[in-house]
Amino acid sequence: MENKLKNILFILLIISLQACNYADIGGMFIANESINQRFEESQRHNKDQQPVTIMVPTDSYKIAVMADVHIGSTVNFDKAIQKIKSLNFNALVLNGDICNGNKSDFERYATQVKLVDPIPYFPLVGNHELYFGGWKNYLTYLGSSTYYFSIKTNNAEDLIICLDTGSGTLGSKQLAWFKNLLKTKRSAYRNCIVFTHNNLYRIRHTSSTNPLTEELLVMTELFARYNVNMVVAGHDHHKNIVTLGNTIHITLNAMKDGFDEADFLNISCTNGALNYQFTDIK
Amino acid sequence: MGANYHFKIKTYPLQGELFFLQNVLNNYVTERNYIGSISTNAQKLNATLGLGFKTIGFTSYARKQAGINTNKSISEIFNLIYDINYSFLNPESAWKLKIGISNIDEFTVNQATNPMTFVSARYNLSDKLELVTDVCYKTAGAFNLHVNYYGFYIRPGIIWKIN
Repeated sequence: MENKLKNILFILLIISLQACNYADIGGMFIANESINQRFEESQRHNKDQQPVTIMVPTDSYKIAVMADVHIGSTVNFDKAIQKIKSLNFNALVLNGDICNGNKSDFERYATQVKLVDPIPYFPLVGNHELYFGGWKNYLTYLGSSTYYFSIKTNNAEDLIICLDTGSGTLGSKQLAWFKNLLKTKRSAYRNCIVFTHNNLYRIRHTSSTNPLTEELLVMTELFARYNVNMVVAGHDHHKNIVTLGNTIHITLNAMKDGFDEADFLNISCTNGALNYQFTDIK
Repeated sequence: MGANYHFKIKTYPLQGELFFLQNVLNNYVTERNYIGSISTNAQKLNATLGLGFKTIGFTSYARKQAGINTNKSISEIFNLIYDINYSFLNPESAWKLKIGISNIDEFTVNQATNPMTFVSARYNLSDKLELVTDVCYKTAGAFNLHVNYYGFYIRPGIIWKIN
């Protein structure tokens, strides 16, 4: 009788988790769409538009980056946008988990993100956007999950690559695209920054899932071989900086409401030298 | 490279193991794993629990090619190592068949949140030689990441035990 009660309670817990807006239990067994599918749909989306080039009149620019906003609510998001606009950034990267996967979250995002105008913004997909069949909404409201853009100063041009690691893997097609992009285009650019939602190295105890080791080694090789200057990630919710070879790996604090340490990253480039600092939203 | 030691706690048989694994990718990236674990030694259901420590770095060739003079490697935080498996056949039989879930095998050490599912068939040729065929299914993503198929391998081989 006791065992039966425990089993019933366990099943009720699973159902309630599924019913809440945060946990997608089905995804623990199989994703709604594969990373290769998402990559192909992203590339079809990209075909209609040229990669964006942001023109900057001097050899100096700033990129703001935030991650793990988890809209829902947008108190921190709104504060961050106000601060970003007041500090005259040249671009904003939204590094995944911007929304929680529900259609209402994406609709809320679509309304609030307009406050960023006229600063160009570049979203990436995180794991939470894929919950509850969220990929279709992501494609509709945020666009492609794999693309690149550049920032052109009066002196040089820097390459910014946005990757989809929402499922913990680049997948075979995106990896081939990434390798080819680095091989054919990297040398034409001065600096190269890669954005990925999923952080790569496990520097602190966490329950977050990260890429498989063999894929991690492949990415480590690519970053070194093609001199990627900076890799910026989210997912872990806690700030971390580690340097491996010539690549700085930065993991961001979460921007979600209720998170005490919410801040955003300020990447600045002055005369070709990349620097970073974290800016509080308070 | 590994070494193990069989012991008992009261009458319960256990096996302690120290294991070192180095992988080199394309003569560029080196991964080193240092693992200590304890396994049960029961007839049917067995479990291994341990801690692993991983460093990722660059070979001297890579450092020369990429101009890397500092920050040649990083170390990840201690990683939980586990293996839970069930053996189907009679333990006295020369044949062994088991199914299990683990984040480690002889050539791979994954983070704790990346388990692999495996089926392992083994045949004892002698006290020192064992024929092995392992089939392993890997997924990317687990727990808070949607699961994607990643790959599988079929690995035949021979294990030579040095006693």
